[in-house]
Amino acid sequence: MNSTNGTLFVVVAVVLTFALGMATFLTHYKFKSLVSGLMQSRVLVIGNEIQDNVEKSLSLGLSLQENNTLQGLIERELRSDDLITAIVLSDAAGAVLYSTEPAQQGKKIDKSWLKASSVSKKENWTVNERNAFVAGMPLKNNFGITLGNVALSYSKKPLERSMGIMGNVLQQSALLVLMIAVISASLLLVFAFSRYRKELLAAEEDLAVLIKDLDGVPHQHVQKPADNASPFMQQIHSFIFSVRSTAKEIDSASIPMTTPNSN
Amino acid sequence: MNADYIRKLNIKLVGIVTLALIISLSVIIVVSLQLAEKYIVPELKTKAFTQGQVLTTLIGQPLSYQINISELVGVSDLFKGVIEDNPEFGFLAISDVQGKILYHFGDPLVDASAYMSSKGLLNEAGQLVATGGKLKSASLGKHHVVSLPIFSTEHSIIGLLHIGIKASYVQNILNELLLDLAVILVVSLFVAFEVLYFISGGKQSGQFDMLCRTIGAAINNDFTQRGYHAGRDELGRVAALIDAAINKINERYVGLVAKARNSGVLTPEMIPDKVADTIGIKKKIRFGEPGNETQSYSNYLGTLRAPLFLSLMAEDLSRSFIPLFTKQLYVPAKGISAEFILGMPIMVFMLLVAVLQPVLAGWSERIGRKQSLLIGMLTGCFAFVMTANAFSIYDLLLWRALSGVSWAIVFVASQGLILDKATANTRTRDIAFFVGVIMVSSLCGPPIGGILADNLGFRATFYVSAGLSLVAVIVLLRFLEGDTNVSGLVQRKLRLLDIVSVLSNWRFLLLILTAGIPAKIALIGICFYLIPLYVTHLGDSSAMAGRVLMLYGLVMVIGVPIAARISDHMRKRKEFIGVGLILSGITGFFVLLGNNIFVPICIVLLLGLAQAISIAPQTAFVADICNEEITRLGEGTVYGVYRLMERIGNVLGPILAALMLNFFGFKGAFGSIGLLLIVSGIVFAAVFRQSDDFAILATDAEGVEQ
Repeated sequence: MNSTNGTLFVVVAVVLTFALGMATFLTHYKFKSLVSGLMQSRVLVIGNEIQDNVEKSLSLGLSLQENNTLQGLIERELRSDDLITAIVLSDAAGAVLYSTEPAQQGKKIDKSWLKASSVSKKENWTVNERNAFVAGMPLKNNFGITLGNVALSYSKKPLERSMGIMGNVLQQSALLVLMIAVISASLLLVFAFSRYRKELLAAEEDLAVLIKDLDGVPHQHVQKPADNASPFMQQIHSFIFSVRSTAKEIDSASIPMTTPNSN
Repeated sequence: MNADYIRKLNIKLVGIVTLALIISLSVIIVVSLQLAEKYIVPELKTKAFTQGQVLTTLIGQPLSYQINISELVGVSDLFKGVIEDNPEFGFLAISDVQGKILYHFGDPLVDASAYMSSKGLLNEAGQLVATGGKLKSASLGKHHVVSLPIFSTEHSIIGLLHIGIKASYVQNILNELLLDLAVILVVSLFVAFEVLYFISGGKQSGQFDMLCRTIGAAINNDFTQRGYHAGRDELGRVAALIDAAINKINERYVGLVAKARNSGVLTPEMIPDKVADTIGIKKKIRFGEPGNETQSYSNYLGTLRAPLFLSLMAEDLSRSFIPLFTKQLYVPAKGISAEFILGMPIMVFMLLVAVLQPVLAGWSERIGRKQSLLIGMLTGCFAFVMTANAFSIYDLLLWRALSGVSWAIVFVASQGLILDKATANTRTRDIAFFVGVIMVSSLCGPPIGGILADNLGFRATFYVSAGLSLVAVIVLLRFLEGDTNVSGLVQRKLRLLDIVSVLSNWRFLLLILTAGIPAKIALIGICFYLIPLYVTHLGDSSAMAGRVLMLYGLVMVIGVPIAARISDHMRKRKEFIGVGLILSGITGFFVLLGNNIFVPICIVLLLGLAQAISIAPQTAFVADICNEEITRLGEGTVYGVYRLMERIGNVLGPILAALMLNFFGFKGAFGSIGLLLIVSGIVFAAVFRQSDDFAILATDAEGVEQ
C-alpha cells in the first residue's frame, strides 16, 4: 500500500468485513435454530396427540400390534399439517407396525432412529436426515416401559426456504451496512490521521533533501521547523541536524600523518 | 514523545473502528429482530392452527353423538392440558355462532364479544378450512387470535374455537433473540479487535515506535540502530529514508576508516572505541556496520498474539459442550457412574496440563519457542481432527489427553517466549498482554462453539477447532521471527526439593489447601463440568451453555484488573481472598432458588465476580507469605510450585462434581462444592487473620489459566 490512507482503508475494510461476516453468520444460525425449534414444536402437537391416543389404548390392555385403529389415526393426523411427510409407529425393537408409507410396513425403522430413541432414555428424540427431520416420541405403558415409538418425518424444505429468504435479506443488509460503514469510517480515519500523514509527508520531503545533501547533490535547504511543530517533526529535524553535524565531523576529520606506533 | 503520540494515534484508530463496528452491528441486530418477528408470529399461528385442528376433531366426537355444543363436559380440563403443554397459548375459548362464549380457559378475554360475534369471522373461518387457504388472524388485547370452525354432523358451523397466542410470548422470544444477538455483538467486537490488532495496531504502532527509537538513538549520536520498514506507505518511506541516512553516515565513516588504514594510521587490531579518536573524530559517536545495523525493536507481541489467540480459542470452542459430546459416546461401564465418565475428558485434559507444564518449560527452552509452539499447535490440530472422529469414550479420552498436551505446550512456549523477549521495563506489560489473550479467548470461544455445535454438530465444531489451529500454524510460520532471548533470563527448572522446601512453609500450604485448590475446584467443577450439563438439563441448548459461560470470561475481563487495583490499594488481600472464596461458595446454593436459566446465569456471574475478586490477591499473597523462600529460591520457583499445587484443583474439580452429581443430583453437586468453598473461606480467614500484606502485587499470567 503506497499511502497511509490506503492502509487505513484496508484495515477498516478487513475488520468490519470480518465482524459483520461473523455476526451475520452467527445470526443466520441463530435464526435457523429458532425457526426449526418452532417447526418442531408444531410437529410435536400432532406427535403428542398420537402418543396420547396410543398410550390410552395401551392402558386399556390393547397391544400395539392388535390395535387396528392406529393406521387410520396416523393417516388422519398426517393430513392435519402439510409439513409432516410421514408418520411411523414401531415396536421397541424397531419393527414398523403402522406407517403412512405402505412400503415401510413390516420393515425395520432406520438404525439412526433406533439409536436416537435408545440414547434419549424415554424422552422425545430427534434425527437430522439428509432431506427431512424426524421427531420421535416413546410409547409407554402404565408401568413406564417403552413399548415402541411414534416418529414423524417432516420436510426440511419449508425451513430451507425460510432460511434462504432470511439469509438473502441478512446478507443484503450486511453488505449495504458494510459498504456504508467502511466508507464513513475510512473517511473519518483519513480526516483523523490527516495531520499524522501531513507530518510524514513533510518528514519524507526533508529526509529526501538530507539524503541528497549526503550524496552531494545540489538542493534547497531544509527549512527550520515552525515553533508549533509537533514533537515528531521536531525530532525529525533534530535527527537531520545530528546526521548533518556527524557528516560534517567525518568530513572534517583530519587523519594524522603519523603511524599509531609513533604515539 | 513517541509513547504519547502513538497512544493518541491508536485511540483514534480504535475509537473510530469501534464506533463503526458498534453502529453497523446494531443495524444488523435491528434488521435481524424485524426479520425474526416477521417469521415467529406466522409460525406460531400455524402451530395454533394445527393444535386447533386436533382440538376441533376431539370436540367433534361427542357432537357426533348428538350432544349439544353447550353441554360438553371436561372442556376446561382439556384446555388446561393444552395450555400447560404450550406456554405460548394465553387462552382457549369456544363461542357459538352468535359469538356467545361457551367455554374459556386461560387469560381473561378483553373486548372479545365484538370480535367473536362478527359475521366476517364465521365466513372467514369456514373458508379457511374449506380452501386450506392462508391463515387470517386478529389481535385481541394482548393476544394474536386464531379461530377455527367447529362443525356439526351436517357440516354446518355450530361454533368457533379461539386460540389466543400471547403477544408477550413473542416479545419474550424477541428479547431472548436480542440477548443472543448482543452476545454475538460482544463476541464479534472482541474477535474484530484481535483482527485489528493483528493487521494494524501491533504492526503500525510497533513500526512507529521502532522509528522513533532509531531517530532518538541517532539524535544521541548512536548510528548503530536501524528501523523496520515493511510497507510502502508514508511511514514505510520515512523509515526507509531514516535507514538510508544512517547507512550513508556509517558508509562515510567506513570510508574514512579505510582511508586511515591505507595510510597506515590504523592497525587491524586497534579496538573500535580508539578508532574514531585516532582518525580525528572529536565527538563521541557510535557507528554501525553499514547495512547491518541492529534492529531497534521487535514486534514479537503483535505477531504472537494472533496465533496464540487462534490456538486458545480452538480449545475454548468445545468448553460449552464437551460433557454433552461425551454423553453421545457414553456406554455404561461396570462400577463407574455415568456422571464420572462424562467428567473424564475434562479431568484427563486438566491432569495433562497440570503435570506437563513444569516438565515442558525446559524442553521448550531447549528446542526453541517457535519450534515448540509449532509442535503444540500441530498436535492440537491433529487431536481435534481425531476427537471429531472419536468412536468411543476410550479413544475420546486419548484425544483429549493429546489436546491437553498441546494446550500445555502452547501455554508454556508462549509464556516462555514472552519472558525471553521482555525486558525489565516491559515484563509486566507483556505478561498482562498474555493474560488478555487468554481472557478474550475464554470469552469468545464458548459462545461461538455453542452456536456452531447447535447448528453444525459437535464433530463439525471440532473440525472448526482443527482449522483454527492450522491457521494459527500458518500465521506463526509466516510472521513470528526466530528465537532470541534478549532478557537474559533463564527459567529455572522446578525440582522436587524446591517443592518440598516451599511446601514446608505451613502458611503457603494452608493457602494452597484453603484457597488455591478450592478456587480451581469451583472453576473447573462448576463452570466447565456442571454448567454445560445443567443448562441442557434445563432444556436449553449448548449454544445457551456457551453464552452462559461467556459471562464468566466477561466478568473476569472487567473484574480482575479492577479488583487487583482495589485490593492492592486497600492492602486487604487476605480479606479479598476470603470474601472471594465465600462468594464462590454461595453460588453453589443458587440452584435452590429455582429451575430456570437464570440460575446458571447467576451462578456463573457471581462465580466470575468471586474469582475476579480473589485471583490477583491470591497471587500477590504468595509473595506476602513466602518472602524467605522467594529470596532463597527465586520468585519463579515459588510461583511454579504454587501453580503446580493449585492445578490439583483443576483435576479434582470434575471428579468431585461428577461424584456429587451421581449421588445427590445437581442440587447436591452445586451445594457440596459451594459448602467446600465456604468452609475453605472461613478456615482461610481464621488462619490468616493476623498476617500482614506487604508484597507488591505481582502480575502473573497463570492466575487466569484453566
